Amino acid sequence: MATRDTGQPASGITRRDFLKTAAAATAVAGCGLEFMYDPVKAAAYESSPDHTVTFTTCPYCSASCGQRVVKENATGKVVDIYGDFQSPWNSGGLCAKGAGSLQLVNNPRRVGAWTAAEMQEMTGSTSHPVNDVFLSTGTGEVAYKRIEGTDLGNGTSKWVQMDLNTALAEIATALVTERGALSSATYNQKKVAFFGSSHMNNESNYVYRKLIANFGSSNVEHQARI
Amino acid sequence: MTNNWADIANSTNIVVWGANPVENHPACAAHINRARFPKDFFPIGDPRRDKKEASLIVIDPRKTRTALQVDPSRPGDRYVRIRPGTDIAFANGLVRYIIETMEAKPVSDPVRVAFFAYLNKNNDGTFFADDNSPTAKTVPSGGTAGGSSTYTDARFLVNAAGDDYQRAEIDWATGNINAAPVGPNATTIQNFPLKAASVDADPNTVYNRLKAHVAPYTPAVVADICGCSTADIAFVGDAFIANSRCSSVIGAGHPLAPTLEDPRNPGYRATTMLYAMGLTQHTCGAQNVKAFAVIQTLMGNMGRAGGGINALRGIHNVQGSTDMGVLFGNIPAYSANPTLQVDAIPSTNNAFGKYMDALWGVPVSGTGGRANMNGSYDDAYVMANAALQQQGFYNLTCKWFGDNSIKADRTKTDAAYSLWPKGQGHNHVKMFRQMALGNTTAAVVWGQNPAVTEPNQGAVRAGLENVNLLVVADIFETETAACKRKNGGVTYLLPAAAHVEKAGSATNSGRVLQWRYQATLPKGDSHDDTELLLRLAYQLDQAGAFSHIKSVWDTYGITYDTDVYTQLYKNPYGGFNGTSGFNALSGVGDYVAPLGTTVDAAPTVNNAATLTGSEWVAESIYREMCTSVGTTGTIWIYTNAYNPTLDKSNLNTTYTAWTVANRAKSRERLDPFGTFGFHKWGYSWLVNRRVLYNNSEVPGDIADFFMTADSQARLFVASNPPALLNYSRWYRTYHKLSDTPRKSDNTVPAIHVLPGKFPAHTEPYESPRADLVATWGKNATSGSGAFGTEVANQYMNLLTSGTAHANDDVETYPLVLTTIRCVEHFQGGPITRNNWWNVEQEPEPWIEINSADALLYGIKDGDMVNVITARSNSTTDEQGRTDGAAGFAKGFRARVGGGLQANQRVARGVVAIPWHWGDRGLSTGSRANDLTIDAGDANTYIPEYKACLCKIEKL
Repeated sequence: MATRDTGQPASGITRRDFLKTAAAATAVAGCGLEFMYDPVKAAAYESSPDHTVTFTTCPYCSASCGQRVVKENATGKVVDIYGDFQSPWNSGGLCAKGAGSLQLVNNPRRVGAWTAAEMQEMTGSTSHPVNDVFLSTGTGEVAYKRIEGTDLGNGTSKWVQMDLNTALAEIATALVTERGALSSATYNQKKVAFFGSSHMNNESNYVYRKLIANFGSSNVEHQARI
Repeated sequence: MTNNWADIANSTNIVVWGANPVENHPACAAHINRARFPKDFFPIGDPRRDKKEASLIVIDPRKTRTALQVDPSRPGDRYVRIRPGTDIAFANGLVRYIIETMEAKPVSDPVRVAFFAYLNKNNDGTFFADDNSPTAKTVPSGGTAGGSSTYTDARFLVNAAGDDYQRAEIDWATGNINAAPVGPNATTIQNFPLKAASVDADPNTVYNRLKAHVAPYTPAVVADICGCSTADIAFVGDAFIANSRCSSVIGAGHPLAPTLEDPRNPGYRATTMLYAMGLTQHTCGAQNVKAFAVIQTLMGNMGRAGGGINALRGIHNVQGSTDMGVLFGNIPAYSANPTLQVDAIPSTNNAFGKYMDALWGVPVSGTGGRANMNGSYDDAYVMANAALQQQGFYNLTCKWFGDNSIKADRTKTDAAYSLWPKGQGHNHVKMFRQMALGNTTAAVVWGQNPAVTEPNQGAVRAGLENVNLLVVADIFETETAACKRKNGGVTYLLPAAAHVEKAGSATNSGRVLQWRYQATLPKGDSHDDTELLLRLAYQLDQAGAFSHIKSVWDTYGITYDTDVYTQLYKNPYGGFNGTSGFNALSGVGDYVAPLGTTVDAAPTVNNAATLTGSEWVAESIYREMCTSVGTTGTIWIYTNAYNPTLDKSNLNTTYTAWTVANRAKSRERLDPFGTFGFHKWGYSWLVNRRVLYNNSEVPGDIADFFMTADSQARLFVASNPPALLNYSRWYRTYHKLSDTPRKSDNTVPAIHVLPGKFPAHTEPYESPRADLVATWGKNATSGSGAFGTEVANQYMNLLTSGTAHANDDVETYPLVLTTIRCVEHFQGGPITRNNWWNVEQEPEPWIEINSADALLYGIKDGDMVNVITARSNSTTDEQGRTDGAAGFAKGFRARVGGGLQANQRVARGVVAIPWHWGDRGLSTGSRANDLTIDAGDANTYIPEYKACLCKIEKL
């Protein structure tokens, strides 16, 4: 069905199809949903004991196109994302961004997502395409930190890996230090600014906003104004 | 959106104005096409096949790919090019044209009859009197006395000052004006708006005042301001007249539900207005949207299938994140930040009661200190009679600052309420200025990339550079994560998960909640946002960040489990201990499985599935948010989106009962009314309405009315002190727009009749037409500092302090810069500029210029061009780099228009630039937002990304 070009196929979409139709369809056909799911391939996934199919919605615009996500059970790897033909919002179609969203998931440039071995399989190199510090350790417990001016001596700094809980503890301590002590008269401090995010689900936004309120602040903004 | 995506298919005239859905919301194009080409979508025998084929009108400075859908062979289609920032002039020109055309028709013309019959429509019932009764009252509507209109305020009388309706005390039993007001009692309504017998019976009706307001917008004047033709105005005006309530031929023996406005009827006519950032990103953005509301209210298209005003929102969950109040002026569900701190506990200043009274709902008080119409009020601490927003806020206070046991306990409620941060934060532009000034010393940036997306990047980067602590959570090393920092400044980057690696609900632009299942665990070292946030909450508790909460709990006897984290995060949200084991948590809930191959196949539902990790935690949070606010739910607009009782609640009886408690997981693509309602696909706020304000006119939808103080859609923006509005049971505060036109001498230009009360044209902050600035002014606000500036002159105060600007200097900066988007890239770019196929299609940023301008500046197609504004230019690499190639700022590749002027992307004098690029990712390029101005709208704090002055030079 699909050929493996520089990356994974998206529901039978080849790079050639992608380049050809993405440009043409939006300009001429007007449907806007040039990447219709392939029913034969979809049926194969959905009846396959080796795959699990789940629902989500597209991570780009707010048209909320339904997506079906195919996981390979043996590896836990997402191997395909295609339009959900039952969704009343897109009836199975996806645009150039949505059809390419598998590249977002399996993107070698993600930070902390892939081990050197996985990177080798994806790109033919054990190096991370941005910075080797972003290779996954396999522990699942990593964050990155840089201190300007302390590492390279040339006015720039570099990331170092550190344990996630340690990083969050350092962040928490620093946030309390920057905020200072609270009294009822100062329950709205603006020493810390919070940003984000429409890229999170409702539940994450709810917890984020609660955390900010508990922290004693309403100093928060996100993409809604841009 | 007042309506929803699929409902666009019910329209017979689609006006896309300041949006480019073919590129930016491509699925929308399919809904548009269903309306335009019904015979291609509906099978023989389906009555919708015979619907009028919808016309498509695109109004935009740029001939977008959406505009290219306009088909010259279809007589109703048209593309209208206007100059950036002149939307209100065109809209008011339309209103003038429509009124003039209607009044010129013969008195017996059915369209004219229907148009005025709607505007004159008598109140038929819905009216909420402030007498402690939860039920609606009927106020007689004859004569010049009181009575609210079911639909519009066109007959209401405006006072001499032009700032409010004429008001009087009336007897609600008779509707008569009390000649000698008797003051608050059970049978009088004070400050009730008065109305005339008909819209033309009095020169002071809203209709006549609107007519006077738009009188200066003659076709010639509008054509001059907008750069369009007078024929454009007439064409679009005629399209509105031909495709609105007044031209709809309903019922009269038609088999389709003749008493309802059934959009399947071949005689049905409705116009929808679709807009996006092209309308909002101006110093007059809110007034632009108000101009849409005026047109659609006048034409009776609000609350109708295929009608409404529909914002095409940008990001998949921007509706949800806005609902969650992740904004400086809000807490969740559109409640304002509390402002008044309790003076003592128990409170003597009634702070909690006053806050509750300001919410949508019943008049309440804590201590009886509030004078009321009839001297009575509900107790703010007793929720039996409260309305949704009040109940939700009380529950939210319990869940965020205590627990449910504080309810009805005045001391504990006051104590928990005292923990709310009081007042607003800084708006997003001012935030970065405060960082640069050293007043804000830390920043947490979660899933956003302000180092590309914010206006006037020089000031943004100066702010990011200066904070002591910067925390970024993202899936890539974004421009923000990599930004230049001051010596010793600490930056953390937390690896986040992709969308298929976490569970939760998202709310689409049509307000529909849908569940997103976790397909697989987050890869490698990345984590679900919720896990990272819960871990941060735990560490904050450990670091003493919540000691003020614990102190209040201890002092006032609010019981809690162990510590703040356990009480407020671990116990309610799935049991996560805050350090490890997130993915092993589990509980029981709904799971809807994928299934077969037919569109309407019933889903496979398991109501007792084991949910683990992200699925279980998200489900736990969802239940807290979406349970009925009548019990413990916290988000009133999501009330009953979680409901274990699987009856037909919030469904028309034609539907079958629900199959899932978590309504976001409902996946039944049923449309028994053929109106694209899909009421069992997800759950729409409010209470599953798919068309807001529907007045029971949309078949199958949940009944609704105009939820304003007067139960009508308003053409006129009255300004009233809230105390004047006690007569309304539900709304006692009117939304006000705070801006008004000013000239450079700070006076209001004489040409405006009722600016601020009706939308009035103003020029962009940097305008290429100094002559028009002199006549019409620029937008301003009455308050100082609205957009982060302390400039006293109101003419200046929509500009952020210290921002370099070109004023109207077209000698130096002769071109208008407008920012745009493309289908291959997204917003600030991290999630497309790292995808190789997207990058292959659009590898670098460009500018679109007109062939005449290109000739003037010696630029050929494909040349690299420097764009210069008063802020910056596009070859200055101001951004410090941590590594990687220097010199990303190479300018923009010119795309020069060809052929006829009308076919070129942009008109002479306009430069369009996509803003998706920055210095990180597979594809790097000059940032459009280095150039843009941080002047903005005083109501929304949205910057004027769509119009500023620039010049260009060939590189």
